[in-house]
Amino acid sequence: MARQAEFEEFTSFVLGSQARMIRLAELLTGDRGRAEDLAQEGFARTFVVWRRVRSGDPAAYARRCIINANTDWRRRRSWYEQPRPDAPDGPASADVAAALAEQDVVLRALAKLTGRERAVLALRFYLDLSEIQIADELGIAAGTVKSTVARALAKLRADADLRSEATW
Amino acid sequence: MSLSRGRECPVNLDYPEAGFRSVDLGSIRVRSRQIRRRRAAGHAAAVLVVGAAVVGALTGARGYTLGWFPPPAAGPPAGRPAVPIDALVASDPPADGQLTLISTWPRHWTTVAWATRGGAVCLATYRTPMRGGTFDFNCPAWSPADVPGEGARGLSPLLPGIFPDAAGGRLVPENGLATPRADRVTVTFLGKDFSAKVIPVPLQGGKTVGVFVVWIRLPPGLNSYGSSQFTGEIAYSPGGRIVARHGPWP
Repeated sequence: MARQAEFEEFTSFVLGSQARMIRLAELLTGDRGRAEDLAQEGFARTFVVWRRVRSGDPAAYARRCIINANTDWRRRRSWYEQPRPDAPDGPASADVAAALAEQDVVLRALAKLTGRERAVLALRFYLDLSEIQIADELGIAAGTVKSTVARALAKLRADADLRSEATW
Repeated sequence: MSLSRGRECPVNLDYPEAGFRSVDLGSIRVRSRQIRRRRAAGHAAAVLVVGAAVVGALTGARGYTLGWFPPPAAGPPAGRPAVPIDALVASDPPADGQLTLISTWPRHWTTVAWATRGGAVCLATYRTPMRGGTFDFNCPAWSPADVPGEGARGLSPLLPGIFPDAAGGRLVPENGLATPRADRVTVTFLGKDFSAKVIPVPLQGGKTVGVFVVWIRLPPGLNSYGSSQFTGEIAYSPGGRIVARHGPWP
């Protein structure tokens, strides 16, 4: 396949999946800016092996790259800072403000979970992957996925801040 | 608000976007070229440093410095003759032209480190003999800001490496930097202590930084791990005094 045609095929893959990948990265990091960087890194790593993965499931490969890159990043800065969702910058329209407020609630709740719990929830409830698929993508046992989901959901249900948001 | 309806998850992860967001295809292309170059350089470096393993095994000396590279000239490295290692030298040249042997444990695994002229510290871990080109090449592994000095911040972030075939996938390396005053570092992982000797690596300007690789043994049944499972890291002086400490971490 010619290099230009290959890049066009990859471009179309990126355009079709970037929204989901950025959201996945955002759910993992809790940080909008970092999410875009992480998604770019995932796509770049995928492009490196594009010939190998294009006929299979390139989205799964990109997801794995994003999750791994996030783990590396968290490990590197683990004792310099803690995850904190960004506050929105400047004034926003009512719709945008509502969307940002909702995003803020979700990201603040997720920030209280461990990295693995966030990853498992994002794959299960945002991307609708099965427990078997998640186990395969994260390299852990299906039983571990199940218990991690249960633990993460229990933490979210017990989250007092989340309960107070729900009473609005 | 954010509560999902009719789904098991208490929060709606599919919340509306506050605005259109996209990745930059140009940057992706540039970054992928960078990754390819690094991988190619890593292969070249790994082949070359196999010799380092042999020397290390023969001398049995950790911290032995191997002079593979000529000291950097004032001009750009592109002016040197084209040999395979130049791909690595050109991108991240050692400040003093030397690799330092950090570890030859476990059997068949070797780790070398070097400091770049920019003040970053690089690391390569590889298997000897090479099996399918398995190695871990990180350059820079730590930026100049991560390099510990003489002050209170005497330890860098740990940098994980994954080698699934080391001891049946149960051994994984954790790399780190320590103040040059440190002689040994102990890392606590899942309640167990793992220790490693700290090896001085020369930086530019006559200074040194301590580099170590701790091999963590994963307990049976644990297929992955994260930072939350590390609960402490302590650097000791040759006399056994604590010179730096991190943790406990959340």
